[in-house]
Amino acid sequence: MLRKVLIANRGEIAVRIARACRELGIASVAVYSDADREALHASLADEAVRIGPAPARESYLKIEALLAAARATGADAVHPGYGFLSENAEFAAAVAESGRVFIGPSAAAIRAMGQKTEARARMQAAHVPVVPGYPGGGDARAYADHARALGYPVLVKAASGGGGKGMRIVRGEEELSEALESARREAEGAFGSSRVYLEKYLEAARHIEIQVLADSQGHTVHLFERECSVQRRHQKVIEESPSPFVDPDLRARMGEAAVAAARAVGYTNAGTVEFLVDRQRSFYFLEMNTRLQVEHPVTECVTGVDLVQAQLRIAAGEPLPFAQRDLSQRGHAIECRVYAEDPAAGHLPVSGRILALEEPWGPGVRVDSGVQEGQVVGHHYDPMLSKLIAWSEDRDAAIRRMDAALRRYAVLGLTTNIPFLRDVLAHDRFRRGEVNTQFLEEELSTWSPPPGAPDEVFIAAALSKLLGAQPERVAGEGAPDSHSPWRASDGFRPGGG
Amino acid sequence: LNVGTRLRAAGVETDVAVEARDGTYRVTIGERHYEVRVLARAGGRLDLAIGDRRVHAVVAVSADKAYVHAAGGTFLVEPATAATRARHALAAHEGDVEATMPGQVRAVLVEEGQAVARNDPLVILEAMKMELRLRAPREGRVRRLCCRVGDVVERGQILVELEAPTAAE
Repeated sequence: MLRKVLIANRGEIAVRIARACRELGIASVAVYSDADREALHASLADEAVRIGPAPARESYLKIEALLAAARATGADAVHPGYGFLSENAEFAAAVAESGRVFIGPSAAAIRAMGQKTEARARMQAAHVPVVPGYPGGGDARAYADHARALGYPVLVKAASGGGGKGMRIVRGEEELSEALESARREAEGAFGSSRVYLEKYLEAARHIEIQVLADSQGHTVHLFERECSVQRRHQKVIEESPSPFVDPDLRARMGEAAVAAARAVGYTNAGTVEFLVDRQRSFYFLEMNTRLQVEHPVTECVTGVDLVQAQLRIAAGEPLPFAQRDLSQRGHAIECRVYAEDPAAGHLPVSGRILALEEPWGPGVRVDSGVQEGQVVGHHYDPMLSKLIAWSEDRDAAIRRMDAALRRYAVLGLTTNIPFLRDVLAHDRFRRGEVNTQFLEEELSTWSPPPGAPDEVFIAAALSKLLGAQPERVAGEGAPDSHSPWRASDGFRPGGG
Repeated sequence: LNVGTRLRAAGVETDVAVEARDGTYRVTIGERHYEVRVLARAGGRLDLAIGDRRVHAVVAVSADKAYVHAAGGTFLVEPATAATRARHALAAHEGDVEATMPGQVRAVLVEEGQAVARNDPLVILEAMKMELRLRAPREGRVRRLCCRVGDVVERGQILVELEAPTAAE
């Protein structure tokens, strides 16, 4: 097994990985930038190392700083999490060359899938259907000609991209040059490469992805689908498993295609094959994310497989402990991404200090959080605060459980999307499972919170103001308990003398 | 002990009065009256009995505002004063372009004195790996640039001042 894992990430995923390490008896090392000195992830690992100033390029994206931290702490493996360097083949290669285990696929597999245009070609060779497109590389004229041939709308996508960064929808030729320019700049900033390509934009399609696991002995399995159609600007907002749209036949066909896609690049460890699915239940390969996904918990809930522990075991050379026939889905799980953003103002990120935090809990409720009370949420990184996951016996029960949990989720001090998430869950189309990637834009793009507040809110505010100056006490106790050993002044010590 | 105040939450102002008597509170909100007992309080965490209903609330005070979580939602509650009303009114200089999120200025696309059309991109802001184009809210002329490439700006900070186009144009 691995001895010590350096977690090259921050936020909730760094916390998630540190917990998995602890459960397997592996030591963990967190890294942090100057902006994250007080962050939750830095306090939960066994060790924490400063890697640089706040900008990600000088810290979480800086390969030398991460390798130096691994050397200094004697880590024998590196987990990249998601985002940052997780799909950077040079990082995976540098970790391997330093004699450490990269917890993920080989640099070659990352490169094959990371170059989206190459990945599309490989998938076609492996008989996995792909979305029609143009690989790019030509001049502005070539992009315009191909866009016209594909038919608008088209998508401009970063050839090295993922996660919606460097992606633009273009609805007509007059928008193309500005979209190319800004997508190139965003791609350059996010991935260090400005190459962009075109894909036919399939409107009203669903985004459904398949989780795969592959060990180094050559076994590859899939862990069924995640429905991720509830998106805003290509950022997933709510994910669930199983998909309300996928039937057993489609599930089997997509699962087989995902396994074929992984095998085509010699994939090992956890990965996700993303598909677009149209109304006729035809599916098209979109891309493969060669890392752990943000939304992996819904798969964990319905399959009972701990994906992060599986990653650590696979990286240590262990074979998968199950075959495809051993896996099944049980019940229904939903994940809501909780963001520090203003859903009534174009979902723009907000920053501020978390003055008070109460997370929901209870049977079937899981909070993968990256923040704690008192922490400052700044503008340097992704504004996701946490993921709330609810599991129950069926979809309706899971939705009810999620809503009850969202109602109890108190994040005070900055605006979050929690009320928006509740309205998405309550929406008739979501309830019926009739969502596609346009759903949020069509139904909830002009969302605003209802005006006013319940009377309880004013009562609490007024009483809090009134009580603010008084010492705390509990009703019915008149005065602080003078018999409490904690208050005695005669030298009593609990358990001692 | 009596407290009467006018509070504002989610755009609505409400009169709130609290009258304290022997450990219970009579709270009046508009025309509605509630008997309230504080069952427990720890910092900003309150367990209340409002009539015969149990309510858990979390309150965090920041300067003159309070964030309150109760009844399934989180609200920003402010005293309804002239100052808060003014803040919520529309910005007086509606031609000015302000940062709609905190971030770093990646590009400034116009110069002082330049004429711009409605929707022209003026400044590119980057925050949390997202790129945002700030556009002219109306036709006009750039009176003053208030930012440079590389500046780290706060939400609400004015980046470009616009003035109406001159009659000659």
